[in-house]
Amino acid sequence: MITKRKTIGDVIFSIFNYLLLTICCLVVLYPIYYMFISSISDGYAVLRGEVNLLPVGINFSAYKAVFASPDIPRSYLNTVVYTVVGTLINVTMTAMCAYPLSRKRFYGRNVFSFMIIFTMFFDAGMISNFMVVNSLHLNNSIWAIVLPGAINAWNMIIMRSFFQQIPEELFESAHLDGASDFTIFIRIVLPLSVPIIMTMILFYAVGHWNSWFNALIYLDDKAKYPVQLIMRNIVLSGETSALSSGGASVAGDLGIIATNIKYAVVFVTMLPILLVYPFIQKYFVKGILVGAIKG
Amino acid sequence: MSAKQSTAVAVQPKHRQGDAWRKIKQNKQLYVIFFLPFLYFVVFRYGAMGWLLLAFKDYNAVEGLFGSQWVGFKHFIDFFSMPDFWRLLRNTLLISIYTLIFSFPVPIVLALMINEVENRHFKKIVQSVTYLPHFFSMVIICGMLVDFLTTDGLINKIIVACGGEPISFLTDPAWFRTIYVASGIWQGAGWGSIMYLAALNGVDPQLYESAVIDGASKLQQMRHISIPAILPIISVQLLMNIGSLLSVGYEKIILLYNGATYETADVISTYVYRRGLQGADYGYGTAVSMFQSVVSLILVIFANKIANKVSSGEGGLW
Amino acid sequence: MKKVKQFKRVCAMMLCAASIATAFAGCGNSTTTPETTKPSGAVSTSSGDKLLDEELTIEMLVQENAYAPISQDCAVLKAIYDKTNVKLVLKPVPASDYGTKASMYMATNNLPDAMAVGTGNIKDYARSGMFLNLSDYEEYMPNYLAALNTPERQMDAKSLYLDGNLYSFARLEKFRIGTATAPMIRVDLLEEQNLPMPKTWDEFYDVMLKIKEKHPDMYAMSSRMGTNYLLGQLAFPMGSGGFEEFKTNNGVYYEPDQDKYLYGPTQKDFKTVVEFVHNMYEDGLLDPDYAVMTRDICWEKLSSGKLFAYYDNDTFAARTFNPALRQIDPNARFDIIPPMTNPEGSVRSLRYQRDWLGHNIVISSKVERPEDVVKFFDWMYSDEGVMVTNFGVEGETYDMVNGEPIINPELLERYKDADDTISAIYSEIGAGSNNFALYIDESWFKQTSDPEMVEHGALIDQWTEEGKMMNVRNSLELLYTQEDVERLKTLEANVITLFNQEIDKFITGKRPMSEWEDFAKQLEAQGATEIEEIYNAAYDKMKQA
Repeated sequence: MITKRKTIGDVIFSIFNYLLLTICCLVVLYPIYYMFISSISDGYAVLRGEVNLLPVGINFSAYKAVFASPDIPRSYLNTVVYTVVGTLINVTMTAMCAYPLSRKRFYGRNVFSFMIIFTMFFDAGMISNFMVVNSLHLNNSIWAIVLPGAINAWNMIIMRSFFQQIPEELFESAHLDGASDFTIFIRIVLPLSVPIIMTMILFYAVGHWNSWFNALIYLDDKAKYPVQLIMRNIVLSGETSALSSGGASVAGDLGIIATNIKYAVVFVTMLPILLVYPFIQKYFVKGILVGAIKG
Repeated sequence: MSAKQSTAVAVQPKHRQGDAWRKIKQNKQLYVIFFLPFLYFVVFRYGAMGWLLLAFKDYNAVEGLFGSQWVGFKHFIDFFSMPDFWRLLRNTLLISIYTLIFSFPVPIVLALMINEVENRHFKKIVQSVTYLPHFFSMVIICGMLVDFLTTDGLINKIIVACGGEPISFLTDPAWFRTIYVASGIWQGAGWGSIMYLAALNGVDPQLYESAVIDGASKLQQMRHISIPAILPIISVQLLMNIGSLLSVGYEKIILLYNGATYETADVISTYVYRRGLQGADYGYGTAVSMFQSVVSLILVIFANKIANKVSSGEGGLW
Repeated sequence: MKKVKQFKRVCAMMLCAASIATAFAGCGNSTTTPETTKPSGAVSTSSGDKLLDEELTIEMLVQENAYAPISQDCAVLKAIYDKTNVKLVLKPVPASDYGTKASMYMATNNLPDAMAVGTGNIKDYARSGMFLNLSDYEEYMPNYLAALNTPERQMDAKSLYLDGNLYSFARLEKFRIGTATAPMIRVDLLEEQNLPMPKTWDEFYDVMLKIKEKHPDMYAMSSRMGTNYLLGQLAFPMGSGGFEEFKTNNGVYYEPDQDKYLYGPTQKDFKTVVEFVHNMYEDGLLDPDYAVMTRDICWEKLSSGKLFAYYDNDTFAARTFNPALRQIDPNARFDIIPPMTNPEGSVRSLRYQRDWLGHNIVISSKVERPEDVVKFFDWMYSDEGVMVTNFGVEGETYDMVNGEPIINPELLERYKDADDTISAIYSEIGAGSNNFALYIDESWFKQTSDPEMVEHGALIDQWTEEGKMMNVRNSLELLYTQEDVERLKTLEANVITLFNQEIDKFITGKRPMSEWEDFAKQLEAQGATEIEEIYNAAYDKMKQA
C-alpha cells in the first residue's frame, strides 16, 4: 500500500473539516432534540416553556395517546404499501426512461428530452390532473396514488446523467459480443448503477412517505388514508379552520391538541422512513463503477 | 472518468438525416424500453395539458372546460396590472437568486467535506444527521423558527449573552431574505448532498491514491478529482434551478412574513394567495402559473444553449 | 462479478416486497366497496312511523377534527336510521385540508349527495346550478324555515340567500354557553396591589402600568394571530371596528350606531386604538413580538406568567391558562373584565357570532329523490331531530332529569379523565357540532366544563341583554353581484396590502401618529370608500329582501 505522508496542510484541513461537520451536526440536531424532549415531557411544562435542555416530568402519555387512535396503525400500513409499490414503479419507470435517453444512438433523444422537461414547467394544475385520473377510473384506489407521479422528470434527468457517465468502452465490447439493448440494460447498466438506484429509491420512497396531497384529492375512504394525512390533521389542529366563517373557527378553538402530542406524532410518522437511509448507505461503496470495469 | 463518452461516435456510423427510420430500426429495443415511460408522459402529463386553456376562460364547473366562457387575456391583464407588480417580481427574483447563490453550493461543499472524512463511523453519523431536517413539515419548521427568532428567543438570548443588542429578526425587512435562505439551507443541505455523494462513489479510489503519491494536497485532490466527477450533476442541477427562478412557493413565506416585512417578503405567489386564490378563481390561477412557466422555459432554453456550448453538447438538459 | 450479485439480491428483495404490497392493495380494494355503494333503486321497507316510507341512503362529506374522530358505527347514526329510514353514510375528511377536498369536488362537478361548505363556496358555485335550490322545496322544510325565522335571527337569515334563493342548511344554535372575545386579566396581580377591576379603558391602561411597575419582566398583552387580530379585538369596544373575527381581513365592520357598514381604519376612533397600542408598545406593555407570535408561543407566555392580560376567547383561561398557572402559583388566575367605558363614554363590545352561518350543508342537484333528502335534513331541525343529533338515545346515551338531558352516568364515567371529556363523548356517540348536527344544543357543556366557564357564559348572556354586548354580524358575501365580487377581490387586496405594511410602523413609532390622517386618506383612495359602498349596497338589498 501507499505510505501515508500527511502534510501539515492536510492535518489542518482534516481538523477543520471534522470541526465544521461536528458544528453542522449540532446545529441540525438541537431543534430535533428539542422536539423530542418536548414530546416526552409533561404537557403543561411544555406549555410554560420550561423544556429547553432536558425533558421535564418524563412520561410517554403523548405516545400512548397517538397509538390509542385507531387511525394511526391502519394508515401506517397504507403508507407502507403506497411507498413500496410506488417506489418500485417509480424506479423501474425512471430507469426505463433514462436509459434510452442517455444513449446517443437513440434517435430523437433531444426531442423526447425536451418534451419531458417541458412537463416540468407546464403543469395545468390540480383540476386537470383530477380529470385525467377520474377519466381513467383510478379514483379511490392505490393506482391514483402511485401512477400519476410515476416518473419525476428531475430524478429522471439525474439518472440519465449517471448513465451517461458509464464508460462507452463497456457498451462497445458488449455490442461486439452481440449483446442486445435489453441485455446491456439489465446486465451492465443497472448493476453498475446501484448507488444511483439506491439514491432514487431513497428519493422516491421518502417522497411517497411524506406525500398527502394526492391521497387527499383522490381517496374517498378514510380506511385508505396514508398516515401523513392523519398527521397533518393533528399537527394543524387549532390553526384556522377550513370552513372560513367566524363561527366555525370558534368551534375549532374548543378542541386543543397539546404541543407534546403534536411532536410525538411527528416522530412516530418520521421514524420508519429515517431507517431507510442507513440501509441504503451500505450500497454507497466507493469506486463501484471502476471496480466493475476492471473486474 | 477521463474515458467519458469520447468514443461514443465510434459505435454509430454517421448517417444522413434521411435514414432516421433505419436508425430507429437498428435500435428498436431502446424504443421498446422507452415505450412505457413515453406512454406515461403522454397520458398523465400531456393528457392534462388541454386545461391550460383555463388561463383564457372564466371557469364554470358545470359547463366544463370547453363550455366555459372565453375571456381572452383578461386574467393576464388583471395579473400584470396589480399594484406593486414590479416589487413582487423583484422580491420573487431576489429570493430565488439568493437561494441559488447561497443554498445551491452548500450541498456540494457538504458532500465534498463528507467525502474527505476518513473515519467511517463519523461519516455515517454526519450523513444521517444532516439529512434529518428534510423530514419535518414546513409548519413545524416555521413554528420553531419563530420560536427561536423572537426577541426573547434562543438566538437573541445568545446575542445578549455575548453582549449584543437583541435584534427583531422577524419584523425587520432587512432580515427576511437571510432567514428564508438560511433556514432553507438548514433544512435542505444534507438532503441535497446525497446525490453528490452518490456521484462521488463513482470515483476510482486509485485516482486519489496516485494523487497522494504525487504529493497532491487534500484541496488539490478535491479540485482535480472530486469536483470534476460531480460536475455533470452540478450542471444539470443548476440548469433546472434556473428554470424555477420565478416559482417561489407561498407556504413558507406565509408562515414567516407579516405586514412589517412585506417590503422584502411579499412575492407573486403570496399576493395571489392573499387575493383569494383558494376561491374558485381557477382561470386566474392558471394564468399566473402560465406566466411563470413561460418565463421559466425561456430561461432554461437560454441556459441550456450556453451549457451545451461550454461543454460541447454534453452538459445540457437536451 | 460481485456487484452483479449484490444487485440481484436487491432486486429480489424489491420484488418480494412488491408482491406483498400488491396483495395488500388487492385487499384494500375489495373490502371497502360494499359499504359505500349507493342503492339507487332502494328497496322499500315497511315502516309506518318513520319519516320516510322508503329507505334512503345519503352520502355526506363532513369535516373531521383530529380531537374528535368520526365513526360510522355510532349511536346517533343508528338512531337516525330507526327514526327516519335514512342511512347516512359519512365521508370524513381531515379538517386541516377539508377546504381543498371540497373545492376539488365542486370544481370538477363531482358532488356527493350532501356536503359541508363555507359561504364563499356557495357564492362561487351556487350560480352554476350544482347545488339543489332549496327555495323550490319550501313545503318540505317547515322546521328549518321556522328556526330561521325567529326574531333574533331574522337579519342574519337573509344573508343566507343568494339572488333570492336558499341553497344551504346552515348550522344553527339552539343553546350554547355564551362565549366572547373579552378582556381578561390576572386578578391575583390586581389583588397584590389592591387594584380595583378597571371600569374604563383609561383605568385598564393604568392598572396595566401599575402591574408592569411591580413586575418589570412581564408584558401585558400579545396577539396570537398578528397585528390585525389584536386591533380587531380592541377596535369595536373603543368606538370603531374592523378585523373582529378570524378571517375578516379587510377591516369592514357593521356600525350599529349608523346602521351601516364602515371601513374601520378610516374612522375617527380607530386612531385612538392605534394610539392605545402604540403607547402600550412605548411603555413596555405590549410584547415586542406581538406581530409575529404563533398561537403556541403566545399560549406558552400566557401559561407561564410572561403575559398578564389578553383580549381573546374568554374560555381559554378556564380551559388552558389557569390550570397551567395553578401548578406554579396556586393563586394565579385570569378573570374576565366586564365591558368597559370607552373614551367616547359608551360601553359596547362583541361576542361571537350567533349560529355557525359559515358552515352550510348543500345538496347536490343530481340527487334522485330531492324531496326526501330535503325532508331528512329538515328533520334535523325538528324537536326529535335535535334530541337525536345532539344527545343520542334516551336511556342509552342520556337521561331526562328535570326536563334536561343529562349525560348517561356510565358514559360520563368512561370519559371523565379524558383530556377533553365532551369531545370524547361526542365522538363516541356521533353527536354535536363535531359531527354533523345542524341545530346545536350544547347543554351538556354545563355538565362537563369548568364551572368558571359556565359562570362567564351567564355573565356574557347578561351583558348581552343589558345591551353592552352584541353579536358579530354575519358576512354579506352572498348578496354581492358578480361584478362586486370581481371588484372586491382587487380592491381588498390593495387595501389589505397597504394597511398591513404600514400599520406596524405606526405602532412601533417608525411613523409618527401625526401622519395618521394622511394614511387614512391614502387608504380611502386605494379603495376603502368603494369597498364601503359595495357593502352598503348589499346591505340595503338585504334589508329590502
